[in-house]
Amino acid sequence: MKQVEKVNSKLANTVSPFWNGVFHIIFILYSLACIIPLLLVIGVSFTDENTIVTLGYNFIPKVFSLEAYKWVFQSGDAILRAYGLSIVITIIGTLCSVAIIAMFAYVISRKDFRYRNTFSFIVFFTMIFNGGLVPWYMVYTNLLHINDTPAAYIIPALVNAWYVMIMRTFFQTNVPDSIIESAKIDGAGEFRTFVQIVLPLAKPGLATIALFQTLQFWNDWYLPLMLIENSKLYNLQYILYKTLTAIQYLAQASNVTGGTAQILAKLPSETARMAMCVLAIGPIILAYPFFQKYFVKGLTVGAVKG
Amino acid sequence: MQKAKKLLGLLLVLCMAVSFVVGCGSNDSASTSSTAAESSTAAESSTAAESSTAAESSVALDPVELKWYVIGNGQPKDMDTVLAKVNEWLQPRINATLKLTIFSWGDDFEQKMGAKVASGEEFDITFTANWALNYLQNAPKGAFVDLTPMLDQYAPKTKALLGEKVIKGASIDGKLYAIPTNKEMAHNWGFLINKDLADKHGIDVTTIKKFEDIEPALKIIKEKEPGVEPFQTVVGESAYRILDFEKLVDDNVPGAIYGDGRDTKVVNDFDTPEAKQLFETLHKWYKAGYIRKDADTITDWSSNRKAGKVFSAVASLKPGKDGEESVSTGVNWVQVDITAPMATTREMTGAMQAISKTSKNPERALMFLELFNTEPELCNLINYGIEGTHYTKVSDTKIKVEQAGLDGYNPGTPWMFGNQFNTYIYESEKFESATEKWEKFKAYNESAKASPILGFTFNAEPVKTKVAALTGVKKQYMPGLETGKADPAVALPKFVEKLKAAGLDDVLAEMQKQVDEFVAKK
Repeated sequence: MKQVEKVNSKLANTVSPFWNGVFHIIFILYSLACIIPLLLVIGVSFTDENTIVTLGYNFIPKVFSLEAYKWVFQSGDAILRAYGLSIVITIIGTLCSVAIIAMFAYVISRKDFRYRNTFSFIVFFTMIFNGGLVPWYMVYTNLLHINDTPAAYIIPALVNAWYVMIMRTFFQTNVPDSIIESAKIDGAGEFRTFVQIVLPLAKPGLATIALFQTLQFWNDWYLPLMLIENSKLYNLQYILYKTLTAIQYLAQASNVTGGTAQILAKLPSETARMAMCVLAIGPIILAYPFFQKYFVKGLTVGAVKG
Repeated sequence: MQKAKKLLGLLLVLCMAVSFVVGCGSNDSASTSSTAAESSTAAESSTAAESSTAAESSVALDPVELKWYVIGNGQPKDMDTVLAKVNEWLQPRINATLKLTIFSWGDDFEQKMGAKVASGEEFDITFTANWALNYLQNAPKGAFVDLTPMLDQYAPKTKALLGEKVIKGASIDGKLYAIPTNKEMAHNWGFLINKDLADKHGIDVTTIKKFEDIEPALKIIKEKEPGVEPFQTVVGESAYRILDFEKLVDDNVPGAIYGDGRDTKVVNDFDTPEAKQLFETLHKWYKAGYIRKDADTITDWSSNRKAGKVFSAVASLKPGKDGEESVSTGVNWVQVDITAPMATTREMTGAMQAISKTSKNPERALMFLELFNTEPELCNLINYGIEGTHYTKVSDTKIKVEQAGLDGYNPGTPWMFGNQFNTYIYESEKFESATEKWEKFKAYNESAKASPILGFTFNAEPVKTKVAALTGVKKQYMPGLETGKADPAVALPKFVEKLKAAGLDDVLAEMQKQVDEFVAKK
């Protein structure tokens, strides 16, 4: 009897070498599918422009050139300014939004808060229904007047209903009521309990939300598309997006608009676009290892402890 | 449990009711507040005007700022400097200052202007066309001011300048909602041919009179110039357009009248004898290797042209098109006209400036457009920047763009703005002077035959879903046919059958009905 159980438990936790190999191959292929395009982008960004036209894309540049990067850094201050703006907005935005999401989620996770269901419903409701694009636009332009200011990057993305729900569940499952109670008994106020007791316990959850929000703020091109007119306030992703859509659009509208070829000639070259992509990836790749350790912790904290 | 459910239901209903009331209410309050704002600004400005008239009796108009949005290469660095010059010129004349914002091609312009129009944001002038901030859709919806009654008072010169043909062509149901740019107002189709390659192999392009005439030249190029595409026809940018059907919806939807204006009968243009013959020719060329093997997957036509690896292609032409293309691609082109110039609604609505319904000063906006269309100084200032800084004159009407112009102010789109016949031309263009170029344009415009349905726009609403279905079928079969890869003997019947299954006949009937109504009204 015991022997059988042992075998079963062993089977439950491991896979046979065959399937192990299969899974490895699947994931290796998947990883390659993600990494190879990235390497190609990097390769192209270092290639000489004329070589691309004649020989096509190559992973290892046939003719090495730094022209694209020179172009990016010399084409006025527009790209560098956008780069700086992206960084500042990502940092401020992530800090503010994580703080707000955590506070909101914590309050509705407490069983002794009378209106928790009402507030949960308010958040939940926005996940299913929304006012549509035009009312959304009018709120930010006519009511809050944040269009054409850096706040337009941050305020609309501050709270995400889905993350509030995730954080609420995280607080409920990982912060036992008894800990909050004992803090209360020891004389801690609500804020002190939250900051010193609850938040440290919720670090893995916070890190997850922070990473998602960092990506959101860094990769955002939609908010500037709708709300930013002043070209000095464009962020990096938007400049990239704008360039790419302009090129697609002109290629399609070729028979309607006169002289599109002249216009296309003025847009950044293929290699320059790739160089911009590489630069846009930079900081976010550096952010990953920083958050990574919390993901691993998140798994262990969730596990049952004796 | 039962109670909780009931409560939840009640709450939902309540929420909807509240949002409904709030939605309507905000609309009301917005409109009242805007009228309040209007009256207060009116009061303010009238007092301002009074004081200014006291100071200087010649100024009768209140000072206003005109907000103007256009599509282009994005906001240039020196826009503020140029606008300062523009305003210096403008203020003494109509007491207005201009705030011009150039958005980028594609979404940047479309989304931002779409949101502004939909939310009723206040602005004065916007660029519109059949391909950007869709004029044909937005004008009937009431986004733009109907200019017809205002033209005589505020823009008489513009009215005379454009002429009746253009105004009729740009009007919707007899109402003009935007001022078309005065430029070439017709199109014709033909070939762009790489002149250097043609000269090298002794090809005489003047012998090419119709589409099939180019075949011997393709043969020579195929044999002697490996690595060069003898004939470029790719998805969308294809040879099919040489048939010059006047499409009623767009290139993706079957249904057109013959482009030479012979009658107003709506046909399925993909299924005409002319189309069949063209597909057969292309298939023959494809098999002979004149067309690249992967043409049906290619949409980027410009990079190979720039690299000098294309010998010939079908293109939309106008006088001096070859010169323009030569400048922009760095390859020496020569154009061969095949079809006769035709004036259709598409050219009339190809580039226009509309005045927004939300503008508080539509009259002043129109006065500005009048000046813009008639005063060369203003037009050139906005198109090319400041003389001596952004460009220098090499002759009376020819200019050389300086480095400062390339970096700081170079919208480069004179065909979009105002009156192209008043603008300078670039030094590199093949014309002796701007006058010569614009004379040619005028002759071209006059020689163009007006389409029998000039001014007609198809309302696709009654057959919307079928139009979408037809588009899907077209995108499935047309790339093969228009690039010669598919054998028309096999693919064409299938294509037509699928179109019929997708509701072709209903759509054609609806088109014919609307065309007949339009013709009868005329």
